[in-house]
Amino acid sequence: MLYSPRRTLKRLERPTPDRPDGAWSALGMGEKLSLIAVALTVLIAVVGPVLMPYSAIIPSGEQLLPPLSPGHLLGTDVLGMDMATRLVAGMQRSLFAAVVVTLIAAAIGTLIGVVAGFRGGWIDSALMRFTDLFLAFPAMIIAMAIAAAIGQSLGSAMIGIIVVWWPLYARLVRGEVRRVAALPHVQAARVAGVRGWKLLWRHVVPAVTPTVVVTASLDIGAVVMTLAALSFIGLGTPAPAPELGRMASDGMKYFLNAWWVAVLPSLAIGLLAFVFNYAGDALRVMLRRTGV
Amino acid sequence: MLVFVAKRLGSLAVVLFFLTLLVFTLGKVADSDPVRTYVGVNASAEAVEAAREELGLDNPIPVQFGSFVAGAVQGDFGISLSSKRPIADELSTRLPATLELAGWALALTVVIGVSLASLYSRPGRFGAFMRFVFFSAASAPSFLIAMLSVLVFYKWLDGALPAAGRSSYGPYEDATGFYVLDGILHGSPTYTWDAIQHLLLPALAAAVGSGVALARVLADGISSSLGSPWARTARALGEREGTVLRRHALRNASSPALSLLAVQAGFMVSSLVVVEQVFSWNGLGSYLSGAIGVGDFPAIAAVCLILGAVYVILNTLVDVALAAVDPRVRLS
Amino acid sequence: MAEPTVLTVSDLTVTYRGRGRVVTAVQDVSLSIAAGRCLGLVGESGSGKSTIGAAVQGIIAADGSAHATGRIAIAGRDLTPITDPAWAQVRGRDVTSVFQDPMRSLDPTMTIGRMLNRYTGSAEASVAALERVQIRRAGEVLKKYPHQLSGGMRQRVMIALALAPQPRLLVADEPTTALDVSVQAEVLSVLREAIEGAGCAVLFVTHDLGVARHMCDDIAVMKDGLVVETGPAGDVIARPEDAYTQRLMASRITLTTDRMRPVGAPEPAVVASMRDVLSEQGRPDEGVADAWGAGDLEWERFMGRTAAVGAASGLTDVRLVEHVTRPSLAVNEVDKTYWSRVKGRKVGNHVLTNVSFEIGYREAVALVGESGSGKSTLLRIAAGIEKPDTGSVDSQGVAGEGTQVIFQDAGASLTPWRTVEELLRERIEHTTTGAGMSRAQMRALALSTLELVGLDESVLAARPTQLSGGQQQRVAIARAVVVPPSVLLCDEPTSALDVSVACSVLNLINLLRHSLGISVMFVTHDLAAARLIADRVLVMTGGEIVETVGAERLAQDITTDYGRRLVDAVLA
Repeated sequence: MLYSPRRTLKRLERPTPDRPDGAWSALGMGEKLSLIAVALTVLIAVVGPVLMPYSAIIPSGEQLLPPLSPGHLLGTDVLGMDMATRLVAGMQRSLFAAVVVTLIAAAIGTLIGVVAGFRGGWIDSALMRFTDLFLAFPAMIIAMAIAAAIGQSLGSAMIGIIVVWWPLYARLVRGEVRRVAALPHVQAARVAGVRGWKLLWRHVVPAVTPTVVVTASLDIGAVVMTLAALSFIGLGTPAPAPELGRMASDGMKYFLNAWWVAVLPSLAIGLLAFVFNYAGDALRVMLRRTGV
Repeated sequence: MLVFVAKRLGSLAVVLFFLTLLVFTLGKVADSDPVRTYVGVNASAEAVEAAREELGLDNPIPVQFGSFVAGAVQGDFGISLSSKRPIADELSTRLPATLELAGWALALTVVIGVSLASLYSRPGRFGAFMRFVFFSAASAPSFLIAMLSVLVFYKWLDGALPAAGRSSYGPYEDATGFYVLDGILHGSPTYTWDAIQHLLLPALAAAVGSGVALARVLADGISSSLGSPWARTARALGEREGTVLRRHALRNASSPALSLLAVQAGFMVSSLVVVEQVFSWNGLGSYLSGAIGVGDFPAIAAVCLILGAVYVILNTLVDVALAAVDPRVRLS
Repeated sequence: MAEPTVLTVSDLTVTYRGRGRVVTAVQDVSLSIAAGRCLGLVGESGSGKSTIGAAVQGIIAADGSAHATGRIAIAGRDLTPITDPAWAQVRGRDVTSVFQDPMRSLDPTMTIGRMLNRYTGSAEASVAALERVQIRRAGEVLKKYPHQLSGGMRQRVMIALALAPQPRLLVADEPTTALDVSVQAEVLSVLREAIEGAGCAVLFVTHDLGVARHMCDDIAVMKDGLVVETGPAGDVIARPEDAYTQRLMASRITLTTDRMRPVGAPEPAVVASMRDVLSEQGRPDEGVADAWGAGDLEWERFMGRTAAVGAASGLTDVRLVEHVTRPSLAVNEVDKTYWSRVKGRKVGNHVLTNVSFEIGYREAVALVGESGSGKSTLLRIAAGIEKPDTGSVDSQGVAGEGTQVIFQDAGASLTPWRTVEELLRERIEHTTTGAGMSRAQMRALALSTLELVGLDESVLAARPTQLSGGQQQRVAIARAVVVPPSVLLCDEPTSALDVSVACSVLNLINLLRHSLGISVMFVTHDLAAARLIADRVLVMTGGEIVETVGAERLAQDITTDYGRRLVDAVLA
């Protein structure tokens, strides 16, 4: 018989479920490790300060004890404050600041990008002229100038970075929105009668979200490093606040006698940045592979 | 091509204008009072008034901006609030120091980027290990690299390379301020070699991060070029893999790498400021952090303007270079 | 006296390994081609034809992902497939090739001259090579970059590049698939003459039987990695022996195909839909498949009534009607110009100039033209996606609601993260018919429409990414007709499809058109497909409608030069 009855045919053509085991099993070993490392680092930064036996801003022992001293695993600094405690507190501070900066920059940029890309016309050109001007500025220098104008604190460094960081998202999102809005599925939805914000929200934004999320997660590491650099050149909250960049630059005075006071905070910054850079990249590879 | 260059020059002027406006505005809204910084907290009311006039702060704001722009164009950035000397004089020896360091750092970036690119996309365990190493290098703040290099080359290797300053000898009279160049001009190999030794560690510390980023973009570009349909065409025409790489892939991967280089140059500025501080390098960066420490905003503004102008001009040059390499940029 | 054999493939089997699966792309294939002969390798996508094309050039990557057994002999040299180090000497000397994608197959950063000189040796030889592929002003072309040339010119350059080393064997992998029909005809004739001049053997890979017949001396038909039939081109096409070849031949649409009946061999999915239609109309018939096979199933049999909406008459209810006099779509004097900046100056591109036409109730009209003729812009204006500069479009026909579009790439026209039910509901919600319907009612309506196109309720909750290409195509059609539109706009719905799938889509559109009583505007570059669906054919070029012809005797009645060129370009 050449053709099967209708029922058989329909049974044969059932949709195949995609990715039955979830996304976790699609990951390689390195990717899994990097995500676990991120979880661990976040955990240490969040609950670590509570668990440490000393205060991060009160001297608790002899001055300049080297690492592996009894009671002070990573030694003490020039005022006798416990290094390990200060490092954990500093990581919490860095991580919190970096996440806040990334979120705000991404939110501002996404908003502007979506409006520009979706509305088009003069709104688009006006917003993009503005964005391009910011992109043409030397980002780091502007951030420094802004932070210096507002005053020496972590908050002013954060504001400085947000001001130079959002245009990247605005450009990216605007391009993505325009690309997606020209795709057949959006036109088809338009033809079916879907208009305005509903069209944007249901048919465009979900396609743009993964790009923004991946970019933001890749950016956390970069923001950690940028904040640390600003803090290192004096644009952070001064001691005794446990700020890693500032701790490193203050420690430079005793560098050749007590290397750990400067090197350990720098290593902590590197560790944070590394964990987030690596995991962000894993996320990027993963999303590309699963074809979202 | 001429139209393209003219357009880029036009937008260069616009960006420079807005950059100046931004820096000036920041100076006006800065939270410290410049007059108080200038005369000190305990000065009399007359002294404050005199200083206000001396600094030109009694003029209306547009006039102040006008004279700020006019001054900046002629290389006059006003008076430092802390040293009370003209900022331009203080920067005249520091600008060549920073440019010399930046030039070497950029050159090292290219060297690192090109030589590591081929290691990046190796398959298997070795490739994975190299990516791990590269990620570590890219995640290390430049002051960490600076500190570690000082520990290794200065402390443990007992002063194999100098870890502070620009030279063991000091500057020549009426020199260019670029020490390596000065050494060559004065025919002194000892002086030149000494300057190069002083340059090595700071330039390396500033270059590692951007070099690794460059390697990654090059590697990505090359691997996507090698997988493209025209690479297949070249293979089908009998080209060997090496020829496909040299003739086609490198050329196509070079334009994203060039644009990245321009972006990296912007980020390198912050590394330079940091590295100068670590190595006591008498350039704009250490001047900037000094000025930040005492809240000397006119000095901060001057450094930001100069570095910003260098960056913007550099970017324009790269754009023109890109248009020369890739015909599609020029025509679009 | 027989020419020497250039290519011999014996018992070639190629398997790909990836992600834990082993796929056999080619199985026990044996072929041979003599010098000066052209062998057409014909098959649908996934049949393994391109793998053979790649294998005989030795450009399958030897990285362990592909494995092959069997032998390939080229110009007397015996080679192990894939792994033989000697491929490096054969490739580019004895074998060269022309690829499908002329857009991206040339290095964008090199001038044509720089590329070509490397293989011809000198600029003069390059000019001669370009003249051989009938490029005039060859000297100027040598200075250009690939992106400055048209698709047809690029493909001619590719041919010149491929013939420059004077190969013994030329592999042409779908060389004209990406080109416009009339350009395709030109490039094919250029290729044919160039090959005859060069005297090499040709392996011509294509999915298009018409092209194969036009180009090739012999044809090998492939299906699922196997060669199912080989023989002289005329014999295979006129008297196919294998069942698959017969079905493939039956699916061919030409300018003489019967328009009154379904095309191709009876197909389960379409037959199922036909039964649904008939039982819905209260006259179930289990014999449609047999009637189709016997050739006495006419579209007339499925004629049903139309859902009329009072959009134009002022009434608000929805009724079924037999006949309507108001046209379903009226396009009046539409102009459209796109502005762009070239070197700082505003340049207008007049895409549509004073276009007017009407589509009557139950009428199907085809717009035929090549890329750049303005036909797609006209469709977008009719669909309301774009606005005309001047002129008006009225799609408020009494029958059906508004316009709906079946896009060229059906899969891409479905939002990947929305379920099929949500997609269909979106259309229902925004119509008069659907206003006031409950979720359950909408679901029921969606389900009955899905069944009409041969799907069942398991599809409702699925996302488009979980569906096969054919299922996506039918979901897209279901969304377009779930509330019957006044005019169904079809944007090249078959051009990216294999012949058998294209056939079933055309049958489905015809079935829906008759049973739902809707009008159709069918935009295509393919005259044969246009003639099958449409009652009238409008020929477009340069943004104007140059001719209107009745479909039945299209080939005879068409009069304009441009129209004749399109007719000649149909390779049957």
